[in-house]
Amino acid sequence: MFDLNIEGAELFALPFGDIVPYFSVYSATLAAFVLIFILIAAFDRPERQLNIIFGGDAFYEKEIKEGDTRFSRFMAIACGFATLGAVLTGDIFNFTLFAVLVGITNIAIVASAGNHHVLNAAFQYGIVAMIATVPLFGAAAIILATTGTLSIWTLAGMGAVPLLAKAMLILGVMGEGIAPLYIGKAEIIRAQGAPFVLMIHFSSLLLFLRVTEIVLVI
Amino acid sequence: MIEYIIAAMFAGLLLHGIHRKVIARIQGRPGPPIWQEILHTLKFLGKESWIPKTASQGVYVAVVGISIAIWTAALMLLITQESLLLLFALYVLHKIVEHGIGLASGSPYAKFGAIRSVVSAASELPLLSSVALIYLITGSLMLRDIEAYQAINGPLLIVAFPAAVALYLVILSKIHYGPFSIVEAKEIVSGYWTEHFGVWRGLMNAAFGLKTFVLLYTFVVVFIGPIGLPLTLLAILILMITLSFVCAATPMLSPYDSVTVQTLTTGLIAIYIIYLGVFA
Amino acid sequence: MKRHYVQLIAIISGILLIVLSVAGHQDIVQVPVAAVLSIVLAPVFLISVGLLFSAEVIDGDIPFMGY
Repeated sequence: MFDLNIEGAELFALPFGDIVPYFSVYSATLAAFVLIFILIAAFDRPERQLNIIFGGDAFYEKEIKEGDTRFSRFMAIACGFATLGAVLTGDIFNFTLFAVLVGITNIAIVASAGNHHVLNAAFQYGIVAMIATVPLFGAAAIILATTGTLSIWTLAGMGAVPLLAKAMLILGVMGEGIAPLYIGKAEIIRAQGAPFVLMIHFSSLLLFLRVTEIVLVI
Repeated sequence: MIEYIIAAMFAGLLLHGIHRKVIARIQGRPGPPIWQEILHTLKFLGKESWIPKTASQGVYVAVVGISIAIWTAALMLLITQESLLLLFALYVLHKIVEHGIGLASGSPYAKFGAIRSVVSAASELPLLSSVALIYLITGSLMLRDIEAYQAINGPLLIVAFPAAVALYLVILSKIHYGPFSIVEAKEIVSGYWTEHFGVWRGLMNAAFGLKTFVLLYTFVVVFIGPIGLPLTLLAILILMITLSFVCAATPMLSPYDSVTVQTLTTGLIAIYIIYLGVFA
Repeated sequence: MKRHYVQLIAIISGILLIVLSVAGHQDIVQVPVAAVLSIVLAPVFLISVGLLFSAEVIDGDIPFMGY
């Protein structure tokens, strides 16, 4: 039973051996928001940007065809489901896997823009995300080695996880979730697609929220 | 429940009005009447509204609904005395709303507001360090436990003073006309909500009024403790006036300075937390 | 979107919100449940009421997705 005074009461738990996916008030709220954003990414059309031509009063509007958005839409939905997994999983290794998946899909969303500068930003973010997998999986490995389990359910409230592992977990998620800063760079040079780009920020922030909860709980 | 939501919205809008009035008086202007923001919101509701042709329709409308939902949820959290961590989560989700509002319309001004909102992600960090410090001191993040702790040990404002400073900074960075409100600076017209007009603007005004009320209410509940409704409202008013003084007396920082100040504050509080965790 | 749809949504969600509020105070519905439902319904209610307000100035129809 899981009733810590950190994230509210437990609403539901599904025991699969020692891996227990669970809903607390906290994770249920996050999951509800993820579902809303998945729906937005799945059904919304991207915005058409206006560019002003300096020196005159003319402006032009970027036209986006449906086919151009297919790849980024797919990746945005995949990113949404990876985020949903990261929010709901009860296992630290699964959480790290979902975090990495979020990183990969984030790269894909940005990279689909096909602009030189945007691709550059995606490449740089990709390197950071790859490096960040080392502390991320390292943290999971340390937790398994010291406590013998990866289940958040079992570890909750025990205080058995070494501080180093928690620090590495946060460091890893910071690496995966740093995407918005790179995407901000891409956005300045105007990659389009509000619902898809929004998903990048959304997934990164939710990873942070989830890792905060995990670190406080275990 | 709806009566709380509506009352909190109007209280928040009234606080915005008082904020403007105080700023104006400090700057030697007569200023608008204090109910101006309420009139403003009602006026916007009666204006002709549509969705711009270039906008991403779903995001454009959804962010308005989500911003209302987020701060309604935060209010309900305070009423049901749930977890402070959840309040932190909702506050962080507000960043997504800001960003979504900016991205949805396709206007370059709104987009620049949105990018500034991403860059100033550091403004969330003080709240996190504040939450962490409160957890370290009270051993719980549930609001009811925090209230119980304060009933025995006195207000957290004294014990957890750095956390109070951090939360104050968080509120300051979300308030209009403040030193950190780079996302709606006038050099980018109105920042991220430039393209939201009519009903959308009115509803967002209402949601942001709710936000101001909820954040100030949280400050009072978490750091001063349960003191009854009239005294709580008085404390909120005093807090708002101190914020107005800060806003009136400081210029708006440049985006980089704003981020630097917020990050430095978080760093200092993080050092204090580590000191507390290791030595105390 | 036609005006009477918006009107219908506003009235239904408004009534539901009031019923929830009363039920929450009378302990017919648990307070957390009433709170969650209010969170979902509040944006629906406020947006539809807002659209109704603005519909006054433009001949009854609300040009919601029309442009």
